[in-house]
Amino acid sequence: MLKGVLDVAVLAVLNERDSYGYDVVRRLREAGLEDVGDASVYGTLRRLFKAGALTSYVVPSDEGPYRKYYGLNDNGRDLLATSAKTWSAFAETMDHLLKELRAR
Amino acid sequence: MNPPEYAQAVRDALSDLPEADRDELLEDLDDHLAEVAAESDVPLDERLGTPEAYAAELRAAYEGKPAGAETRHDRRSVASQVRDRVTGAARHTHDRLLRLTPYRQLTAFLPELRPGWWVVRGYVIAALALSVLHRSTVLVPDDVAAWAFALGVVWVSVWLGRRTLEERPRFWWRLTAVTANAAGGVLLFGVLLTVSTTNSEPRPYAAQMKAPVPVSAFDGVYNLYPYAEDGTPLHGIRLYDQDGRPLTLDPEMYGYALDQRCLADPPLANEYPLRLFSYFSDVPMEPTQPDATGVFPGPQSICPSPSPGPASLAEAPPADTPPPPHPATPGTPGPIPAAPGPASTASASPSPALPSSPSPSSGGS
Repeated sequence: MLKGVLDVAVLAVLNERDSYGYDVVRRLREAGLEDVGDASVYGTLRRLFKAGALTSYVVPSDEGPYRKYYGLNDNGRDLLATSAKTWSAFAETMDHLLKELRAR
Repeated sequence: MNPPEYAQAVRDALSDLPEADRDELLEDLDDHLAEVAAESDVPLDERLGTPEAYAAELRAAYEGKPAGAETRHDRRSVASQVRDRVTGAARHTHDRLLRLTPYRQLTAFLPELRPGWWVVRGYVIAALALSVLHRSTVLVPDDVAAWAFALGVVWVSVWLGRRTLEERPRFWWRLTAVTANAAGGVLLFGVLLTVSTTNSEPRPYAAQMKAPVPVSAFDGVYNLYPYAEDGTPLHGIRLYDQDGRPLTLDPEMYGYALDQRCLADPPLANEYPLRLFSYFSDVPMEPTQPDATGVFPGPQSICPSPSPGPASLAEAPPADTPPPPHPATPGTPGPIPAAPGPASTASASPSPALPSSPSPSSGGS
């Protein structure tokens, strides 16, 4: 996966609602990123947390262990906004580049 | 590998990271892996790959590098790549299907059925083994030894099932187990199918279990020779009374015995004409009196070929005699549950093996 894309994807998923690690993996897969690795998501979450973009809190679960939920803080929302802009610009550029290819 | 073991292996693989980083990264790995493990029955190392590969991906993601395919699959054996493909595809399908509520409920419910399945598959295997041993379909063990054997197999099956459940065996073993279970399921289906069809087919042995009715009314009669309407001699005609009891004669009284020499199975005592041989001479018996049409049937060879002919049993009884248990309607409920059916049709034939047997139309010598 392209560098940085997973960060944006994880931030976007968490922007929708707070989630614990495996829930993020599942939601990313459901969204279409089917090959996303569990370890990649977990590592990304920890890095974003360390970078100060995420809050985390623990919620008791009925079925299993305590779940550590992650959510965006203000830093995270800013990061998502910037990343989304970057990504959109990038996607637009790529679209434009590939337009000729598709037209042919 | 259970979650703590897996987490420990990942920790070991990352032992070169600065301790602060490692602690930060792996802080809630245990909880996370427990969560992953709780999500599905598939063992962690099948779903996530080896702990080493997982650690490499984790490291790459944590350090903000793209986790390329090469970090996950470098220097992997073909077997483990095949393994990942298979489990990956299975997991993918499973994850997709999990979005459907009925599938979720089914997967939650299936594990509860497992003990029942262990018992059933053990019983089926035992029944199959006994059937092979007895060379006939054994659905219920018929003696103490057979019961002990069946219970033993069931016990082993349950034991294996429990052990498999506890130990989380390796992938190839699991694949074998899944295949074996699927084969067992197909087998069970087949057995059930056989049972349902045998129930609607004639069961001569079941018929035999009814007490035979000796026909003592005809003094001096020790064999019967059925003929078709057109005078063709019929063979393998099984006669029953109105209650499905076999009609038997008593040839021993007259110095004859059932000829078993040509048959794999003992002949039925109510399958006419009886193949008899005299205690006093070795000549197979043939009617010595002309039949109702005044025709002498020809001599029989000692071992007539059992090949079936075109005539069906439905034509066998003469029109003016009360019909025997009607074989052409095997499924019909009636007073004769053990009615013979189409299988006897196969043997009820104008015997083509008797080339010398004259038919009435050809005049008979």
